[in-house]
Amino acid sequence: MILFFISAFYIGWLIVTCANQPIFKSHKWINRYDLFRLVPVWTFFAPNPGVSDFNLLSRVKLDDGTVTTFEEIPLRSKKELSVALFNPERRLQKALNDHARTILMQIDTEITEENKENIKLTFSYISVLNYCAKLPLAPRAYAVQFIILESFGYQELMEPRLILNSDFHRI
Amino acid sequence: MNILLKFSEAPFVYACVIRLLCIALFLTALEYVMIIGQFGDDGIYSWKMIKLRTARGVRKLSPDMLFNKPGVLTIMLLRICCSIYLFIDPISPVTVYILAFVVASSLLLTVRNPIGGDGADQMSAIVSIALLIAFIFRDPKIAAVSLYFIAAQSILSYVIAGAAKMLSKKWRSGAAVFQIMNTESYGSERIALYLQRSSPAVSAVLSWNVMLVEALFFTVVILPYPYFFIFLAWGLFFHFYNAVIMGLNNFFWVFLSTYPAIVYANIALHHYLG
Repeated sequence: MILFFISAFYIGWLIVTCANQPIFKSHKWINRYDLFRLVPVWTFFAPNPGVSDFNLLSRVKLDDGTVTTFEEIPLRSKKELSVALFNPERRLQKALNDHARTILMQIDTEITEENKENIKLTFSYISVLNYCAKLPLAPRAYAVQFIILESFGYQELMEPRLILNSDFHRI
Repeated sequence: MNILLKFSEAPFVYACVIRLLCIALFLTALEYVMIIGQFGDDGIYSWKMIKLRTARGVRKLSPDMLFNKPGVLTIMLLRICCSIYLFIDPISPVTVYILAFVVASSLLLTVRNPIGGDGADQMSAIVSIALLIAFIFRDPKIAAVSLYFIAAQSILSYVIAGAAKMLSKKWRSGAAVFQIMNTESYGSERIALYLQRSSPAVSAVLSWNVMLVEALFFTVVILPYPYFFIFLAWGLFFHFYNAVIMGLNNFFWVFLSTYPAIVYANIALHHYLG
């Protein structure tokens, strides 16, 4: 009897996994209730692979009003053999990339000219701002600003485009 | 051939799956320990920030003590200890308790970190749960069914990935291979340059190679020895390439941990068919 239930549980899990692929309408519904993310999406890099990179830059305004130049926050690991085995930086970069991708998606789908201020209230915006504000900054830093750019690879297939230009936020 | 026969014995297969999974668990936990500062209030994984997004019901149930920096560090250090212990002695009376901790902590970390995770983390949790079920019941039939499930989930991942690529014009034309290799995140400047300078047929061949092998990966349980090894060897190379070039290092060990279960399923199927 236990064997029957366990087999049914496994078969059910496999069926739900198939139903959770983005080509099916059930994907959104399953995703909403999958608190522990145990129903995977296995479509890696398909059908539309990501063909761009995100670049995160930040700068600060000093208390005398001077604005520093933008500095890039690295979102990619060095291409070394060692990172194939052990790559702690990837965990940080993946989180920042996920936030950048979410911001891009929100700008493309939810944010309009009328409600553009709403982006500042999103989790990803606040998280990236919080991260940039806590980076080692100039001693007299008063406010921080970040920008997210989308670039199109080594052989620049398109001009980089500005995704988001944040306001200066007081630290 | 003798070593292949070993893969018909569930305890041997379990030992292989556990050891390979432990390498993944160890490396992942160590990676998080190395960036533990990011779990503080000023980090990208700040619980203060993340809990703003977490559903209120979950937030109420989520103990801050467990999800703040010292809590996460403790969980990660325990996962490192568990993976070392299981690697040395994968099948012992305490395996079930260690697996229970691994599963529980994986689920907690999933709630804790709604960002930064990937398919390897998901596969790792899935394999851990199937292992836990097998070790709770300690029944040969449940042990076999759990291995079939691990094999099926792994095969499904390749087949779905292959089928999804076939639906895409970019993949069918080969353009996707160049475009992915051209990104700084997952690509390589030298490979992108080579693909750009060479005939489009090169990208198309590479693209169809990935699509066809992935889509036909289910044959790995049907093909007789030694032919099914072609798929496993391809998978090994594929994940090695992804680790070195694309930086997807944790996928290598996690997906490799499912391969002993695939071999077990292949042998069981051929045994059943006589």
